[in-house]
Amino acid sequence: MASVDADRIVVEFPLYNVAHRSFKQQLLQSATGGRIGQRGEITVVRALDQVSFRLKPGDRLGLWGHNGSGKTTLLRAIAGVYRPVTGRLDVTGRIASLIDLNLGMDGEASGIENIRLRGVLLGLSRRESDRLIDDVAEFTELGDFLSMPVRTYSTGMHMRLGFAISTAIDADIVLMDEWLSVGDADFQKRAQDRLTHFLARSKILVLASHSEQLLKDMCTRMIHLEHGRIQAAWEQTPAQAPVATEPGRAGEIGQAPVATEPGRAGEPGQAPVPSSVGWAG
Amino acid sequence: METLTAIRWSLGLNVARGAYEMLGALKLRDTWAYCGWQDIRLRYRRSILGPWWLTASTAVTIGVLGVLWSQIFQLDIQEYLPFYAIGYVVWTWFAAQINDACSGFTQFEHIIKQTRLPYPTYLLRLAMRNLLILGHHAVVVVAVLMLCHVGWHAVSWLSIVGLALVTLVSVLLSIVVAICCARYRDLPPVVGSLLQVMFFLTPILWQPGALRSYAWVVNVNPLFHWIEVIRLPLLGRWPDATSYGWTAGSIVVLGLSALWLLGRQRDRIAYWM
Repeated sequence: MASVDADRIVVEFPLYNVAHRSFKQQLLQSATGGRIGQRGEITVVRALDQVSFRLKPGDRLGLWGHNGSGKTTLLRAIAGVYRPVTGRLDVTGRIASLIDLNLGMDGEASGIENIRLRGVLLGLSRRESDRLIDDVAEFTELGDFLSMPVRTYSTGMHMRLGFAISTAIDADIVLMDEWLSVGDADFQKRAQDRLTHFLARSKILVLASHSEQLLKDMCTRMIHLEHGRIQAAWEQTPAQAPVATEPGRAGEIGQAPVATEPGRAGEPGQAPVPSSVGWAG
Repeated sequence: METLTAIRWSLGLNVARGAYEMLGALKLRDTWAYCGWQDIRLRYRRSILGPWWLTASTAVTIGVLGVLWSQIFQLDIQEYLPFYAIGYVVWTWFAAQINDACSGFTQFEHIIKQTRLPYPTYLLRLAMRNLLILGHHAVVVVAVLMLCHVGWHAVSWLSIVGLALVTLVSVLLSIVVAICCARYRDLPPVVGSLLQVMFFLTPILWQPGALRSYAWVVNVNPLFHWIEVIRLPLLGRWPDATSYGWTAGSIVVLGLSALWLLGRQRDRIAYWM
Protein backbone atom coordinates (compact mmCIF):
# COMPACT_ATOMS: atom_id res chain seq x y z
CA MET A 1 0.00 0.00 0.00
CA ALA A 2 1.38 3.37 -0.92
CA SER A 3 0.04 6.71 0.16
CA VAL A 4 1.12 10.23 0.99
CA ASP A 5 -1.14 12.18 3.27
CA ALA A 6 -0.25 15.78 4.02
CA ASP A 7 -2.45 17.79 6.29
CA ARG A 8 -1.63 21.50 6.59
CA ILE A 9 2.09 20.89 6.84
CA VAL A 10 4.42 23.78 7.64
CA VAL A 11 8.16 23.63 7.13
CA GLU A 12 10.24 26.46 8.54
CA PHE A 13 13.97 27.00 8.31
CA PRO A 14 15.63 28.79 11.17
CA LEU A 15 17.98 31.43 9.82
CA TYR A 16 20.84 31.35 12.27
CA ASN A 17 23.30 34.19 12.28
CA VAL A 18 26.81 33.74 13.58
CA ALA A 19 25.78 34.49 17.16
CA HIS A 20 23.04 31.87 17.13
CA ARG A 21 25.48 29.25 15.99
CA SER A 22 27.95 30.17 18.68
CA PHE A 23 27.81 28.40 22.00
CA LYS A 24 29.86 31.18 23.58
CA GLN A 25 27.46 33.89 22.44
CA GLN A 26 24.47 31.92 23.64
CA LEU A 27 26.11 31.47 27.01
CA LEU A 28 26.92 35.18 27.33
CA GLN A 29 23.46 36.15 26.23
CA SER A 30 21.79 33.90 28.74
CA ALA A 31 23.92 35.51 31.45
CA THR A 32 23.11 39.07 30.42
CA GLY A 33 19.81 38.34 28.78
CA GLY A 34 16.89 40.67 29.22
CA ARG A 35 18.96 43.65 30.19
CA ILE A 36 20.57 44.21 26.85
CA GLY A 37 17.56 42.82 25.09
CA GLN A 38 19.51 41.43 22.17
CA ARG A 39 18.26 37.93 22.57
CA GLY A 40 16.30 38.54 19.40
CA GLU A 41 14.12 35.85 18.03
CA ILE A 42 15.66 33.66 15.38
CA THR A 43 14.32 34.62 11.98
CA VAL A 44 12.53 31.79 10.30
CA VAL A 45 11.78 31.32 6.67
CA ARG A 46 8.57 29.54 5.98
CA ALA A 47 9.35 27.23 3.08
CA LEU A 48 6.04 25.39 3.14
CA ASP A 49 2.89 26.94 4.46
CA GLN A 50 -0.24 24.94 5.24
CA VAL A 51 0.23 22.48 2.40
CA SER A 52 -2.37 19.73 2.19
CA PHE A 53 -2.92 16.96 -0.30
CA ARG A 54 -3.58 13.28 -0.36
CA LEU A 55 -2.02 10.85 -2.82
CA LYS A 56 -3.19 7.33 -3.53
CA PRO A 57 -1.75 4.65 -5.79
CA GLY A 58 -1.94 5.71 -9.42
CA ASP A 59 -1.46 9.40 -8.67
CA ARG A 60 1.20 11.29 -10.58
CA LEU A 61 1.54 14.60 -8.84
CA GLY A 62 3.21 17.54 -10.55
CA LEU A 63 4.68 20.28 -8.39
CA TRP A 64 4.94 23.42 -10.40
CA GLY A 65 6.52 26.68 -9.33
CA HIS A 66 9.47 29.01 -9.61
CA ASN A 67 12.82 28.66 -7.92
CA GLY A 68 12.37 28.91 -4.20
CA SER A 69 8.67 28.17 -4.28
CA GLY A 70 9.14 25.14 -2.03
CA LYS A 71 9.13 22.28 -4.54
CA THR A 72 12.36 20.64 -3.46
CA THR A 73 11.58 21.24 0.20
CA LEU A 74 8.28 19.45 -0.25
CA LEU A 75 10.03 16.53 -1.94
CA ARG A 76 12.50 16.34 0.92
CA ALA A 77 9.72 16.53 3.47
CA ILE A 78 8.04 13.55 1.80
CA ALA A 79 11.40 11.76 1.82
CA GLY A 80 11.47 12.26 5.60
CA VAL A 81 14.43 14.62 5.67
CA TYR A 82 12.55 17.66 6.95
CA ARG A 83 9.90 16.92 9.49
CA PRO A 84 7.09 19.49 9.35
CA VAL A 85 7.01 21.92 12.26
CA THR A 86 3.24 21.67 12.40
CA GLY A 87 0.70 19.66 10.49
CA ARG A 88 0.67 15.99 9.78
CA LEU A 89 2.52 14.11 7.08
CA ASP A 90 1.99 10.37 6.75
CA VAL A 91 3.92 8.48 4.11
CA THR A 92 3.57 4.75 3.61
CA GLY A 93 5.53 2.78 1.06
CA ARG A 94 9.12 2.49 -0.02
CA ILE A 95 10.49 5.79 -1.28
CA ALA A 96 12.95 6.29 -4.10
CA SER A 97 14.40 9.75 -4.17
CA LEU A 98 15.82 10.74 -7.54
CA ILE A 99 16.59 14.23 -6.26
CA ASP A 100 20.32 13.61 -6.15
CA LEU A 101 21.55 10.79 -8.37
CA ASN A 102 24.97 10.91 -6.77
CA LEU A 103 23.82 10.24 -3.22
CA GLY A 104 26.67 8.92 -1.11
CA MET A 105 28.95 8.39 -4.09
CA ASP A 106 32.65 8.45 -3.37
CA GLY A 107 35.09 9.48 -6.08
CA GLU A 108 37.89 7.31 -4.77
CA ALA A 109 35.78 4.17 -4.62
CA SER A 110 35.26 1.98 -7.67
CA GLY A 111 32.00 1.79 -9.56
CA ILE A 112 31.12 -1.53 -7.96
CA GLU A 113 31.88 -0.23 -4.48
CA ASN A 114 29.69 2.76 -5.19
CA ILE A 115 26.82 0.47 -6.14
CA ARG A 116 27.20 -1.31 -2.82
CA LEU A 117 27.54 1.96 -0.94
CA ARG A 118 24.31 3.28 -2.40
CA GLY A 119 22.58 -0.01 -1.73
CA VAL A 120 23.42 -0.02 1.95
CA LEU A 121 22.63 3.69 2.28
CA LEU A 122 19.16 2.92 1.00
CA GLY A 123 18.82 0.33 3.72
CA LEU A 124 19.57 -2.82 1.74
CA SER A 125 21.74 -5.55 3.20
CA ARG A 126 25.17 -6.23 1.78
CA ARG A 127 23.84 -9.24 -0.10
CA GLU A 128 20.89 -7.36 -1.53
CA SER A 129 23.24 -4.59 -2.66
CA ASP A 130 25.43 -7.12 -4.43
CA ARG A 131 22.43 -8.21 -6.46
CA LEU A 132 22.17 -4.74 -7.99
CA ILE A 133 25.60 -4.99 -9.55
CA ASP A 134 24.70 -7.13 -12.57
CA ASP A 135 21.73 -5.01 -13.48
CA VAL A 136 23.69 -1.77 -13.23
CA ALA A 137 26.68 -3.20 -15.08
CA GLU A 138 24.50 -4.41 -17.92
CA PHE A 139 22.64 -1.17 -18.27
CA THR A 140 25.56 1.27 -17.97
CA GLU A 141 27.84 -0.77 -20.27
CA LEU A 142 30.73 0.56 -18.23
CA GLY A 143 32.46 -2.84 -18.34
CA ASP A 144 35.92 -2.77 -16.83
CA PHE A 145 35.46 0.82 -15.78
CA LEU A 146 33.30 -0.45 -12.94
CA SER A 147 36.41 -1.57 -11.12
CA MET A 148 38.09 1.82 -11.57
CA PRO A 149 37.71 4.74 -9.17
CA VAL A 150 34.69 6.82 -10.08
CA ARG A 151 36.79 10.00 -10.17
CA THR A 152 38.38 8.72 -13.38
CA TYR A 153 34.96 8.67 -15.10
CA SER A 154 33.81 11.28 -17.56
CA THR A 155 30.79 13.34 -16.54
CA GLY A 156 28.61 11.23 -18.79
CA MET A 157 29.82 7.97 -17.31
CA HIS A 158 29.37 9.34 -13.84
CA MET A 159 25.78 10.29 -14.58
CA ARG A 160 25.06 6.92 -16.16
CA LEU A 161 26.21 5.15 -13.05
CA GLY A 162 24.26 7.41 -10.71
CA PHE A 163 21.15 7.09 -12.85
CA ALA A 164 21.40 3.32 -13.13
CA ILE A 165 21.88 2.82 -9.39
CA SER A 166 19.05 5.20 -8.56
CA THR A 167 16.63 3.32 -10.77
CA ALA A 168 17.79 -0.16 -9.79
CA ILE A 169 15.65 -0.56 -6.70
CA ASP A 170 11.91 -0.66 -7.10
CA ALA A 171 9.91 1.75 -5.01
CA ASP A 172 6.29 2.57 -4.24
CA ILE A 173 6.80 6.31 -4.22
CA VAL A 174 9.17 8.04 -6.60
CA LEU A 175 10.34 11.59 -5.94
CA MET A 176 11.87 13.48 -8.84
CA ASP A 177 13.24 16.98 -9.15
CA GLU A 178 12.98 17.84 -12.83
CA TRP A 179 12.94 15.16 -15.46
CA LEU A 180 16.03 13.04 -15.72
CA SER A 181 17.97 12.97 -18.87
CA VAL A 182 21.42 11.54 -19.10
CA GLY A 183 24.06 10.74 -21.65
CA ASP A 184 24.40 10.94 -25.39
CA ALA A 185 21.51 10.54 -27.81
CA ASP A 186 21.76 6.76 -28.03
CA PHE A 187 22.03 6.29 -24.32
CA GLN A 188 19.30 8.79 -23.68
CA LYS A 189 16.71 6.64 -25.35
CA ARG A 190 17.70 3.63 -23.26
CA ALA A 191 17.68 5.80 -20.15
CA GLN A 192 14.18 6.99 -20.93
CA ASP A 193 13.05 3.38 -21.41
CA ARG A 194 14.54 2.40 -18.12
CA LEU A 195 12.96 5.36 -16.35
CA THR A 196 9.61 4.61 -17.92
CA HIS A 197 9.67 1.06 -16.66
CA PHE A 198 10.92 2.16 -13.29
CA LEU A 199 8.02 4.58 -12.98
CA ALA A 200 5.56 2.03 -14.27
CA ARG A 201 6.49 -0.30 -11.43
CA SER A 202 6.00 2.44 -8.85
CA LYS A 203 2.64 3.49 -7.50
CA ILE A 204 3.00 7.19 -6.86
CA LEU A 205 5.14 9.79 -8.60
CA VAL A 206 5.84 13.26 -7.31
CA LEU A 207 7.60 15.30 -9.98
CA ALA A 208 8.77 18.86 -9.36
CA SER A 209 9.49 21.14 -12.28
CA HIS A 210 9.60 24.73 -13.50
CA SER A 211 8.04 23.58 -16.69
CA GLU A 212 4.30 23.60 -16.83
CA GLN A 213 4.41 21.81 -20.17
CA LEU A 214 6.38 18.88 -18.82
CA LEU A 215 3.96 18.45 -15.95
CA LYS A 216 0.95 18.74 -18.26
CA ASP A 217 2.39 15.88 -20.25
CA MET A 218 3.19 13.68 -17.32
CA CYS A 219 0.91 14.22 -14.40
CA THR A 220 -2.61 13.36 -13.37
CA ARG A 221 -2.65 15.99 -10.67
CA MET A 222 -1.04 19.37 -10.30
CA ILE A 223 -0.11 21.64 -7.47
CA HIS A 224 1.04 25.15 -8.16
CA LEU A 225 3.30 26.34 -5.38
CA GLU A 226 4.21 29.92 -4.74
CA HIS A 227 6.14 31.08 -1.67
CA GLY A 228 5.46 27.73 -0.11
CA ARG A 229 1.70 27.99 -0.43
CA ILE A 230 -0.59 26.08 -2.71
CA GLN A 231 -1.82 28.65 -5.24
CA ALA A 232 -3.92 26.18 -7.10
CA ALA A 233 -4.43 22.45 -7.33
CA TRP A 234 -6.27 20.59 -10.01
CA GLU A 235 -6.66 17.22 -11.65
CA GLN A 236 -5.93 16.74 -15.29
CA THR A 237 -5.54 14.18 -18.00
CA PRO A 238 -1.92 13.96 -19.06
CA ALA A 239 -1.44 15.27 -22.58
CA GLN A 240 0.47 12.15 -23.43
CA ALA A 241 -2.16 9.56 -22.71
CA PRO A 242 -0.97 7.10 -20.12
CA VAL A 243 0.10 3.86 -21.67
CA ALA A 244 -0.31 0.67 -19.77
CA THR A 245 3.18 -0.65 -19.60
CA GLU A 246 3.80 -4.28 -20.16
CA PRO A 247 7.17 -5.88 -20.64
CA GLY A 248 6.26 -6.97 -24.18
CA ARG A 249 5.51 -3.47 -25.32
CA ALA A 250 8.75 -1.96 -24.24
CA GLY A 251 9.71 -1.26 -27.82
CA GLU A 252 6.89 1.17 -28.36
CA ILE A 253 7.79 3.38 -25.52
CA GLY A 254 9.97 6.26 -26.30
CA GLN A 255 8.95 6.47 -29.92
CA ALA A 256 6.47 9.23 -29.49
CA PRO A 257 7.62 12.68 -30.54
CA VAL A 258 9.95 14.26 -28.07
CA ALA A 259 8.61 17.37 -26.48
CA THR A 260 11.22 20.02 -26.24
CA GLU A 261 10.71 23.25 -24.52
CA PRO A 262 12.70 26.39 -25.16
CA GLY A 263 12.56 27.58 -21.56
CA ARG A 264 14.47 24.63 -20.29
CA ALA A 265 17.10 24.35 -22.92
CA GLY A 266 19.53 26.75 -21.29
CA GLU A 267 19.64 25.07 -17.94
CA PRO A 268 22.76 23.17 -17.11
CA GLY A 269 22.33 19.47 -16.96
CA GLN A 270 18.79 19.60 -18.22
CA ALA A 271 18.79 18.21 -21.68
CA PRO A 272 15.62 18.02 -23.78
CA VAL A 273 12.65 16.44 -22.23
CA PRO A 274 10.94 13.21 -22.27
CA SER A 275 9.75 10.79 -24.70
CA SER A 276 6.38 9.41 -23.93
CA VAL A 277 6.01 7.90 -20.58
CA GLY A 278 3.63 5.18 -19.75
CA TRP A 279 2.39 4.18 -16.41
CA ALA A 280 0.10 1.68 -14.93
CA GLY A 281 -1.75 3.07 -11.94
CA MET B 1 2.92 18.45 41.00
CA GLU B 2 1.34 18.62 37.61
CA THR B 3 4.37 20.26 36.05
CA LEU B 4 6.53 17.54 37.54
CA THR B 5 4.40 14.86 35.94
CA ALA B 6 4.52 16.74 32.66
CA ILE B 7 8.30 16.97 32.80
CA ARG B 8 8.58 13.29 33.60
CA TRP B 9 6.34 12.47 30.65
CA SER B 10 8.32 14.58 28.22
CA LEU B 11 11.59 13.08 29.47
CA GLY B 12 10.24 9.59 29.04
CA LEU B 13 8.82 10.39 25.64
CA ASN B 14 12.11 11.80 24.36
CA VAL B 15 14.14 8.90 25.72
CA ALA B 16 11.72 6.46 24.08
CA ARG B 17 11.99 8.32 20.77
CA GLY B 18 15.77 8.31 21.07
CA ALA B 19 15.79 4.58 21.82
CA TYR B 20 13.63 3.95 18.76
CA GLU B 21 16.07 5.95 16.65
CA MET B 22 19.01 4.05 18.13
CA LEU B 23 17.40 0.66 17.50
CA GLY B 24 16.71 1.68 13.92
CA ALA B 25 20.39 2.51 13.50
CA LEU B 26 21.57 -0.74 15.06
CA LYS B 27 19.34 -2.65 12.67
CA LEU B 28 21.10 -1.04 9.71
CA ARG B 29 24.19 -3.04 10.59
CA ASP B 30 25.21 -3.56 6.99
CA THR B 31 24.98 0.15 6.30
CA TRP B 32 27.40 1.41 8.93
CA ALA B 33 29.60 -1.67 8.92
CA TYR B 34 30.11 -1.56 5.15
CA CYS B 35 30.55 2.20 5.01
CA GLY B 36 33.07 2.14 7.86
CA TRP B 37 34.97 -0.74 6.33
CA GLN B 38 34.93 1.00 2.96
CA ASP B 39 36.39 4.16 4.55
CA ILE B 40 39.40 2.12 5.65
CA ARG B 41 39.76 0.39 2.30
CA LEU B 42 39.95 3.77 0.63
CA ARG B 43 42.80 4.75 2.92
CA TYR B 44 44.69 1.73 1.67
CA ARG B 45 43.99 2.83 -1.87
CA ARG B 46 45.45 6.29 -1.35
CA SER B 47 48.69 4.93 0.07
CA ILE B 48 49.96 1.37 0.18
CA LEU B 49 50.54 1.59 3.90
CA GLY B 50 47.02 2.85 4.53
CA PRO B 51 46.29 3.06 8.24
CA TRP B 52 49.63 1.35 8.94
CA TRP B 53 51.16 4.73 8.36
CA LEU B 54 49.36 5.97 11.48
CA THR B 55 50.38 2.80 13.29
CA ALA B 56 54.00 3.43 12.42
CA SER B 57 53.85 6.92 13.86
CA THR B 58 52.13 5.58 16.98
CA ALA B 59 54.87 2.98 17.33
CA VAL B 60 57.58 5.63 17.07
CA THR B 61 55.84 7.84 19.62
CA ILE B 62 55.48 4.97 22.06
CA GLY B 63 59.02 3.75 21.54
CA VAL B 64 60.69 7.15 21.93
CA LEU B 65 58.48 8.69 24.58
CA GLY B 66 58.23 5.40 26.45
CA VAL B 67 61.98 5.35 26.94
CA LEU B 68 62.07 9.09 27.70
CA TRP B 69 59.30 9.05 30.30
CA SER B 70 60.61 5.93 32.00
CA GLN B 71 63.91 7.79 32.47
CA ILE B 72 62.24 10.96 33.72
CA PHE B 73 59.98 9.10 36.13
CA GLN B 74 62.86 6.73 36.95
CA LEU B 75 60.74 3.67 36.30
CA ASP B 76 61.77 0.27 35.07
CA ILE B 77 61.22 0.31 31.31
CA GLN B 78 59.89 -3.25 31.32
CA GLU B 79 57.28 -2.14 33.78
CA TYR B 80 56.48 1.25 32.27
CA LEU B 81 56.43 0.63 28.54
CA PRO B 82 53.48 -1.84 28.48
CA PHE B 83 51.49 0.51 30.73
CA TYR B 84 52.20 3.50 28.52
CA ALA B 85 51.69 1.65 25.23
CA ILE B 86 48.24 0.32 26.13
CA GLY B 87 47.07 3.61 27.62
CA TYR B 88 48.33 5.61 24.66
CA VAL B 89 46.76 3.36 22.01
CA VAL B 90 43.42 3.23 23.81
CA TRP B 91 43.48 6.99 24.26
CA THR B 92 44.36 7.63 20.61
CA TRP B 93 41.38 5.51 19.56
CA PHE B 94 38.94 7.10 21.98
CA ALA B 95 40.04 10.67 21.26
CA ALA B 96 39.85 10.07 17.49
CA GLN B 97 36.27 8.84 17.84
CA ILE B 98 35.20 11.91 19.84
CA ASN B 99 37.07 14.26 17.51
CA ASP B 100 35.40 12.63 14.51
CA ALA B 101 32.05 12.94 16.26
CA CYS B 102 32.43 16.74 16.26
CA SER B 103 31.73 16.61 12.54
CA GLY B 104 29.69 13.41 12.90
CA PHE B 105 26.67 14.92 11.17
CA THR B 106 28.14 17.87 9.26
CA GLN B 107 30.54 15.65 7.29
CA PHE B 108 27.56 13.60 6.07
CA GLU B 109 25.45 16.63 5.22
CA HIS B 110 25.05 15.49 1.62
CA ILE B 111 23.45 12.24 2.79
CA ILE B 112 21.38 13.76 5.59
CA LYS B 113 19.77 16.23 3.18
CA GLN B 114 18.75 13.51 0.74
CA THR B 115 17.56 10.58 2.74
CA ARG B 116 16.38 9.85 6.23
CA LEU B 117 18.60 7.37 8.02
CA PRO B 118 18.44 6.96 11.81
CA TYR B 119 21.02 9.48 13.00
CA PRO B 120 23.18 7.17 15.15
CA THR B 121 23.97 5.29 11.91
CA TYR B 122 26.50 8.00 11.04
CA LEU B 123 28.25 7.69 14.40
CA LEU B 124 28.29 3.91 14.23
CA ARG B 125 30.01 4.28 10.87
CA LEU B 126 32.69 6.40 12.56
CA ALA B 127 32.93 3.88 15.41
CA MET B 128 33.44 1.07 12.91
CA ARG B 129 36.14 3.07 11.16
CA ASN B 130 37.97 3.85 14.39
CA LEU B 131 37.71 0.30 15.70
CA LEU B 132 39.37 -0.94 12.53
CA ILE B 133 42.17 1.57 13.01
CA LEU B 134 42.46 0.43 16.63
CA GLY B 135 42.89 -3.09 15.26
CA HIS B 136 45.93 -1.85 13.35
CA HIS B 137 47.37 -0.04 16.37
CA ALA B 138 46.84 -3.11 18.56
CA VAL B 139 49.80 -4.63 16.77
CA VAL B 140 52.06 -2.13 18.56
CA VAL B 141 50.57 -3.17 21.90
CA VAL B 142 51.08 -6.85 21.13
CA ALA B 143 54.69 -6.18 20.13
CA VAL B 144 55.39 -4.21 23.30
CA LEU B 145 53.77 -6.87 25.51
CA MET B 146 55.86 -9.57 23.89
CA LEU B 147 59.02 -7.50 24.08
CA CYS B 148 58.49 -6.87 27.77
CA HIS B 149 57.53 -10.47 28.49
CA VAL B 150 54.01 -9.70 29.62
CA GLY B 151 52.14 -12.91 28.95
CA TRP B 152 48.48 -13.55 28.18
CA HIS B 153 46.64 -14.53 31.33
CA ALA B 154 43.13 -15.76 31.94
CA VAL B 155 42.26 -12.31 33.23
CA SER B 156 43.46 -10.76 29.97
CA TRP B 157 40.24 -11.85 28.30
CA LEU B 158 38.49 -9.27 30.46
CA SER B 159 40.11 -6.56 28.35
CA ILE B 160 37.78 -7.56 25.52
CA VAL B 161 34.79 -7.02 27.80
CA GLY B 162 36.35 -3.71 28.78
CA LEU B 163 36.81 -2.71 25.15
CA ALA B 164 33.18 -3.56 24.39
CA LEU B 165 32.00 -1.42 27.31
CA VAL B 166 34.20 1.53 26.35
CA THR B 167 33.10 1.24 22.71
CA LEU B 168 29.55 1.66 23.94
CA VAL B 169 30.64 4.66 26.01
CA SER B 170 32.35 6.21 22.99
CA VAL B 171 29.29 5.78 20.76
CA LEU B 172 26.94 7.28 23.35
CA LEU B 173 29.28 10.20 23.98
CA SER B 174 29.62 10.66 20.20
CA ILE B 175 25.87 11.11 19.90
CA VAL B 176 25.88 13.89 22.49
CA VAL B 177 28.95 15.56 20.96
CA ALA B 178 27.69 15.30 17.38
CA ILE B 179 24.30 16.84 18.18
CA CYS B 180 25.81 19.72 20.15
CA CYS B 181 28.46 20.39 17.51
CA ALA B 182 25.88 20.35 14.71
CA ARG B 183 23.94 23.06 16.51
CA TYR B 184 26.82 25.17 17.80
CA ARG B 185 29.60 25.51 15.28
CA ASP B 186 32.16 26.91 17.71
CA LEU B 187 32.12 23.78 19.87
CA PRO B 188 34.51 21.46 17.96
CA PRO B 189 37.66 23.41 18.95
CA VAL B 190 36.43 23.39 22.56
CA VAL B 191 36.02 19.61 22.44
CA GLY B 192 39.51 19.35 20.94
CA SER B 193 41.12 21.35 23.73
CA LEU B 194 39.18 19.48 26.40
CA LEU B 195 40.47 16.19 25.02
CA GLN B 196 43.98 17.60 25.05
CA VAL B 197 43.70 18.61 28.70
CA MET B 198 42.16 15.28 29.64
CA PHE B 199 45.04 13.44 28.00
CA PHE B 200 47.44 14.99 30.51
CA LEU B 201 45.02 14.80 33.42
CA THR B 202 44.40 11.07 32.94
CA PRO B 203 47.03 8.53 34.00
CA ILE B 204 48.37 7.60 30.59
CA LEU B 205 51.87 9.08 30.73
CA TRP B 206 52.09 8.87 34.49
CA GLN B 207 50.97 6.13 36.79
CA PRO B 208 47.84 6.48 38.94
CA GLY B 209 49.79 6.20 42.20
CA ALA B 210 51.96 9.21 41.39
CA LEU B 211 49.58 11.90 42.61
CA ARG B 212 49.67 10.86 46.29
CA SER B 213 47.58 13.47 48.15
CA TYR B 214 45.65 14.38 45.00
CA ALA B 215 44.70 10.78 44.29
CA TRP B 216 41.01 11.74 44.27
CA VAL B 217 41.58 13.64 41.02
CA VAL B 218 42.30 10.30 39.41
CA ASN B 219 39.47 8.48 41.07
CA VAL B 220 36.74 10.89 39.98
CA ASN B 221 37.99 10.96 36.38
CA PRO B 222 35.74 8.58 34.41
CA LEU B 223 38.30 8.47 31.60
CA PHE B 224 40.75 6.82 34.00
CA HIS B 225 38.27 4.06 34.78
CA TRP B 226 37.40 3.54 31.12
CA ILE B 227 41.07 3.02 30.33
CA GLU B 228 41.64 0.83 33.38
CA VAL B 229 39.05 -1.78 32.39
CA ILE B 230 41.04 -2.35 29.19
CA ARG B 231 44.57 -1.75 30.44
CA LEU B 232 44.77 -3.71 33.70
CA PRO B 233 43.58 -7.07 32.32
CA LEU B 234 46.16 -6.81 29.55
CA LEU B 235 48.83 -6.26 32.20
CA GLY B 236 47.59 -9.42 33.88
CA ARG B 237 45.78 -7.71 36.76
CA TRP B 238 42.18 -7.45 37.85
CA PRO B 239 40.58 -4.04 37.47
CA ASP B 240 38.95 -2.57 40.57
CA ALA B 241 35.25 -3.09 41.02
CA THR B 242 35.01 0.71 41.24
CA SER B 243 36.34 0.99 37.69
CA TYR B 244 33.54 -1.24 36.45
CA GLY B 245 31.14 0.73 38.60
CA TRP B 246 32.22 4.01 37.01
CA THR B 247 32.07 2.52 33.53
CA ALA B 248 28.60 1.07 34.07
CA GLY B 249 27.48 4.36 35.62
CA SER B 250 28.84 6.30 32.63
CA ILE B 251 26.93 4.04 30.28
CA VAL B 252 23.68 4.68 32.15
CA VAL B 253 24.18 8.46 32.41
CA LEU B 254 25.53 8.91 28.87
CA GLY B 255 22.95 6.50 27.52
CA LEU B 256 20.05 8.43 29.01
CA SER B 257 21.47 11.81 27.96
CA ALA B 258 22.24 10.60 24.45
CA LEU B 259 18.80 9.05 23.96
CA TRP B 260 17.05 12.04 25.47
CA LEU B 261 18.98 14.51 23.31
CA LEU B 262 18.46 12.35 20.26
CA GLY B 263 14.73 12.04 20.88
CA ARG B 264 14.44 15.77 21.43
CA GLN B 265 16.58 17.01 18.55
CA ARG B 266 16.36 14.34 15.86
CA ASP B 267 13.81 16.27 13.83
CA ARG B 268 15.91 19.42 13.89
CA ILE B 269 19.29 18.03 12.88
CA ALA B 270 18.51 18.20 9.15
CA TYR B 271 17.53 21.86 9.55
CA TRP B 272 20.91 22.67 11.06
CA MET B 273 22.85 21.38 8.06
